[in-house]
Amino acid sequence: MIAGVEIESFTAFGSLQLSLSPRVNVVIGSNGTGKTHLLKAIYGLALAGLSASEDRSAKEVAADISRKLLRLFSPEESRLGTLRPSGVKAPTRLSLVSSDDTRVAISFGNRSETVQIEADAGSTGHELQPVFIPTKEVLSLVRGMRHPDHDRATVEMIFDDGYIDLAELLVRPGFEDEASSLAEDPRLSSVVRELVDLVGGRYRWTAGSAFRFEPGRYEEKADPTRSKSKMAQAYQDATVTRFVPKGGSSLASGMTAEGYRKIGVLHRLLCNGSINPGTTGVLLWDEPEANLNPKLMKKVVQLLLELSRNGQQIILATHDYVLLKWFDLLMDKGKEDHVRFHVLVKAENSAAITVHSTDDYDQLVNTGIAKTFSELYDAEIERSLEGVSL
Amino acid sequence: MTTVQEYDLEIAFPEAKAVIHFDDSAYHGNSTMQRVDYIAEYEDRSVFVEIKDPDNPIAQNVPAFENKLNSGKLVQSLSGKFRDTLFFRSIQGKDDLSVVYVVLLSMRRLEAALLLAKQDELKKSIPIRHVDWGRDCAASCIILNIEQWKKRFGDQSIRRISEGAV
Repeated sequence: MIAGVEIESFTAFGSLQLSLSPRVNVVIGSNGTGKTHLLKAIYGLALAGLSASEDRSAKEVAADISRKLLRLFSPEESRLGTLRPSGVKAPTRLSLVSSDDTRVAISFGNRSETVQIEADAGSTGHELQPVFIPTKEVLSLVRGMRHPDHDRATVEMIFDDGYIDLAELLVRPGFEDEASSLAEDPRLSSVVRELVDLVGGRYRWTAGSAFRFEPGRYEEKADPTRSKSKMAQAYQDATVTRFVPKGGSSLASGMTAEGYRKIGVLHRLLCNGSINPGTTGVLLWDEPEANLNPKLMKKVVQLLLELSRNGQQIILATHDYVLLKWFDLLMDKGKEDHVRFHVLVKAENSAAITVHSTDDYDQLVNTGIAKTFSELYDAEIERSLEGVSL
Repeated sequence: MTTVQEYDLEIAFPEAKAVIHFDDSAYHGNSTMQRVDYIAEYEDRSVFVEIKDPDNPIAQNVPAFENKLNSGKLVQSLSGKFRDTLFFRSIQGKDDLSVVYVVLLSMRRLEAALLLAKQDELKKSIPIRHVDWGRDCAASCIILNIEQWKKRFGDQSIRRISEGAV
């Protein structure tokens, strides 16, 4: 688990310290307060921790992570110094502190060609594969991004590594693929089923090197390999859950709704083990609400809470009132749910970004999201009661 | 100046010609008509006022109110009260005025976004307008919390009795 993040002099940030919940963290803030940068910084740090734990030379790892940072943030000029706030002399330093107090840190200066990485060995927090889901849907882009006829440099100019890394994770074989021999993780069965129910089908990686949508749902059936007498002994053990296709042929992923494809990404990552609570690292999801019908949000929040109950640490960035409110309404302290909100604010008279973290939803009244609704409410009252007094 | 008291709330109507306590069982007898709490009459309009006060420190059965709110039954009841009251007034021959429907919903937990959503539901549920009607059945319809009530009608316009002076 990641217990905290410390940032000094990086992109829009001066000095920022965050204490993270081991369960769900929700980063909010207006445009330009650095939500995505924060998520990418945590992702980059977690990758640095993972690389440092592998059997490679420190020099190789430093070069890799330097490239990765530049590829994640895609500055116009491919130079680490461009990731620093202008006019700052103090070196940039990013650190992740794990729950066992070990840490991984990246530092660099204006003229550094590569970053310096310091990582405590044997950590249980930052040596796991993180997952970053960017705002735009990726499922339908995977084919184009990975097509052998497409020039790699052009693809990289269009997509930063947030997208390219996710594409790599998505094509890992999953238990739902044609001819897959992978077993399903029983802890996640209900989440996987519900995701399929939510969109009325599943996305599968096909022989044509693309994702296709197959309409259908999971249904429980008697296990044909068991005899009737055994079935009577233990009904629970005698049923198997199988995907039952319906409604004709499959569709190219690009022909399905973009919101559905976002659900499909989560489904896919669970099916192929890229998200595996306890074995894989933090899940970072930038604006889950983008292109998602608000009706689906309740279920998405329920499923994220379910994952967190299984030990998955989650960090989301959002602008969405509906998402925030569902977390407030659905979190169940009896199930040890914990949600921490991190509000990024740009000071009025300077460019400095500060963070205010709270576990109390009611403290969010002054955020831009809540204020937007207050303004709407005020305007509605003004229109309705124009000229009316008591 | 007319002031009315509804359990823990005191509301002032300084400009009203008359304020009728409309939700009075003695007046309505055994009829099942649904009714708003008060009707304030002015020269050029009537204001129907319905008060819901789960924030009342001695409010009974707040969970039941929350259920009603969440299940959509509250909006259904608020729209029914408006329609039946309007019907009563119409037979009374008092339907020539412009009607404003104000619901006071005092529940601190309800944020602006949720009040706004309930208000939109209420307008549709009444309904305020219909394609075959020559005019809207209400000039406006609004759900206010105490804070917005004070902002709109003045700090002196409402007070919580258990909290003492304004």
